[in-house]
Amino acid sequence: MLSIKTLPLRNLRGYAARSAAVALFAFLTAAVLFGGTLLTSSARNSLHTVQARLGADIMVTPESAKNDFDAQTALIKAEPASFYMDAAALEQIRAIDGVERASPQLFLASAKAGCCSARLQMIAFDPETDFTIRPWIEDTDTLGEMGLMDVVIGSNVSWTSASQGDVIRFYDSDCRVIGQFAATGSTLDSAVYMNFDTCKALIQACREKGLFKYGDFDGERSISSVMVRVKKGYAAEEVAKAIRARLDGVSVVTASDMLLGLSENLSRVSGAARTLMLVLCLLGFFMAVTVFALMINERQREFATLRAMGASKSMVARVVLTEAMAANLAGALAGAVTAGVVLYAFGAFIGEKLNVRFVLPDLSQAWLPLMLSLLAAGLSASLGTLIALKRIGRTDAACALKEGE
Amino acid sequence: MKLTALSIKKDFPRAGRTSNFFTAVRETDFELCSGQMIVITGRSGSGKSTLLNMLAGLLKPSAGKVLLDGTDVYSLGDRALSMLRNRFIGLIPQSNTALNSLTVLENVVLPTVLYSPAEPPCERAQALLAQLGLGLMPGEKPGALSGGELRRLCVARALISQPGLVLADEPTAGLDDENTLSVLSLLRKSADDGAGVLVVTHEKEAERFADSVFTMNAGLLSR
Repeated sequence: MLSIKTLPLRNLRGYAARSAAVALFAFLTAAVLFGGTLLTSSARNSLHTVQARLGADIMVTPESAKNDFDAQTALIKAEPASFYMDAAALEQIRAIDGVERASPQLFLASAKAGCCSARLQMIAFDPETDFTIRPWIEDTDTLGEMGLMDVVIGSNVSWTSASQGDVIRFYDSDCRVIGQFAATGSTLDSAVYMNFDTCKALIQACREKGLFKYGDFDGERSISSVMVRVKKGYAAEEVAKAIRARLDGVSVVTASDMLLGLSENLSRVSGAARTLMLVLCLLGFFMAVTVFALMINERQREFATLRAMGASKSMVARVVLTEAMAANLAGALAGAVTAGVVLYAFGAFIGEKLNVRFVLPDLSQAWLPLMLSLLAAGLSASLGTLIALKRIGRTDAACALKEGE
Repeated sequence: MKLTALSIKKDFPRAGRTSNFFTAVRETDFELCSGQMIVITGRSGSGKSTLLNMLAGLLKPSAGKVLLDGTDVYSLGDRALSMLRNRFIGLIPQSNTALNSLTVLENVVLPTVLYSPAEPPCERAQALLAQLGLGLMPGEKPGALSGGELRRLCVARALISQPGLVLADEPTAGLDDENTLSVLSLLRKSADDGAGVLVVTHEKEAERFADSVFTMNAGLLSR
């Protein structure tokens, strides 16, 4: 039934092209605002998570691993690798001034062959001295203590569900999956974590299949890396310099070096996203004002007719504002939902293309950027309408109703 | 119901100048009572439409007062004045105006839904449209109507609320003889039914329906 409340909707339908144009600009503005905000905040959160998960201030790896492992890009893109050095480095590092804790890790890359569930990086840690992985395992729902052939997997690792429990297979040896980490948005999500005994058993299985190429590997004396925590009051850079001076044949990187790649990409993408968001917001606002100014010109007589039949100025203003709000909010909602669907469905692909890793929040946490996007669209509609209404206020209804005026 | 104009005049600033005005309507007294049909004739630009718009509460006079049953309409706030116009005045504007997103029937009943949640008087609207020769097009959009049909739509819209006052600015402009006659007859019938009707027109034929005829010349109203 026709009423003053349904009039704005009727007008939106009656001027379908103009309504669609307004909604389209709101769609684009909200999609970029919502998508951009979600993407950059997710990438920033991911950086913080990786930083926290990394846990160490310094990582020491054999210099010979340079071809297989680049610490500065390892968190963004890394092929599973195996490399080893003498465990004697561990004691030498512990003896260096400024080192609070040092814990060894052992790496093994699984094969692409059918004996393995997937090509993955296996990382073994020493439960006695570890300070980087255990805290995360303790925060994760696990099926009890990590024993021999037990593993915790990264968020991107899938495994086959067996009837006796969840298992993942490496070199034809079944490992029991006792937990899975939350996503970090880094290569840590594609790794499998285990204790030294499990890793050594898998290395032995690999050897038996003739796939292990490291002849100098000594089960008792070999490690892949040493994770170092620096004492309070010491600078990681200074301690790293001291390790470099004391140990030959090692590569020493600080956490900030490792995160540099991630943060540089993040800054690049954030900067571009911010610029794009600003440009599109201004464009959206400019277009909203332009479309409304055109609309006012086109419909000046309609508004004057409403005034002549007894509509007050505030009633006409409400009709125009409701039209603007409805078109803008519908467009903005559609834009934000589309951006959300695209990001949640193709986030991994987008991250790969932008060379940025990010972990999108739960949908329940996305409401704030959603509200901000809708607010921006509403604000743009309101400002556009206010300018248009100012023009209506200046126009004399009697004059607008004259023939030929 | 009585509409009274006391010494109203209207000056407009000349375009491009700040201190020079021209007077569209010179100091005028006027009275329109229930059951009366008054016709004002005059040349284009003589001030007829300006006078009508001042009487309709759409254009504030530069001096003088417009009283509706003793109430100074320009002393009211915008909302009160708008409600008064909606309740008591049916205005047929000079131009053919309609809301393009609504149908002919919806345009006609629109004044009745501005302040009332009640069901619009569609039957009365249909009857008015039929009397004006638009009975077959209530579902059309205004864009599909000719100029003459739009003019008659404006007439139907002004009469839908059975207002106490009908102010018609060139209601027969662009109409053929037959439709001119039916519009003027309808306006006369409104007056006979108790409304005060003011018609501003070039149409000589209108004088035949009037109780009084005035002439406007260079802003001066005379009998």
